[in-house]
Amino acid sequence: MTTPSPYRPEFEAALRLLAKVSEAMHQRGFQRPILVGGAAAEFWSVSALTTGDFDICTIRQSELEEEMQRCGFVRPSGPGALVKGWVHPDLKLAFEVVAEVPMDGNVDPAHILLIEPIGETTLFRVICVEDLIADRMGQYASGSAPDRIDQARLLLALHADLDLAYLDRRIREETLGDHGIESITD
Amino acid sequence: MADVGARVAARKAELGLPELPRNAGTNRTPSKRALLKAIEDLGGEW
Repeated sequence: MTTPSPYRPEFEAALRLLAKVSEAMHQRGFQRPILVGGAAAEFWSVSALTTGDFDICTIRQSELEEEMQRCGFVRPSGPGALVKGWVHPDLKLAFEVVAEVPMDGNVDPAHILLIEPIGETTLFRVICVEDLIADRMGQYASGSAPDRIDQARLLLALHADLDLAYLDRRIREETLGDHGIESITD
Repeated sequence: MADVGARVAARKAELGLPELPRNAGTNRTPSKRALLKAIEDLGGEW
């Protein structure tokens, strides 16, 4: 008997689609895009935090968007002329290229992970949970998102096997030295 | 992914942690707000 997945089915479907698009990029000789932001938070929190909005980094935006269109993504219609992202009408979710590289290039490439979605053999890339926590802390420290420290604390609690030295360094970098790991362990 | 899911689900159960809070959504760009509305218009949730 198969154990039910702890992820939302629609989130799993979205990651299979991301892996499919990523594989197409890989086959063209380009690096796979990298998942960041709220969808990375849903991945690492195992759907405790949910999103239908997938932020992606790539230096090959036009080629990625070609592959997304081949997989059924369309530009939203209507008055949203400012929209930079793409929606998938069947899956009812959106992908958006938000930057060329994650977190202004401060992520250690060795900490970007290749993941095989459930029910798929192709792979997608995602920032590691340490960088995701540092990202949440950077937003918290900026004053723009005071709730993000709660996400950081819970993500830390959910992962007992983190590289704590890397995590501490990245939190200090993202918060310009205002915070370290002690801010979420006290 | 299956490994991450199983490990974190077990950790959640072990700790009895509450669900993570949703983003407050106060820091979104106009483009992002429009994209999220497009998802809603399709009947989706973000």
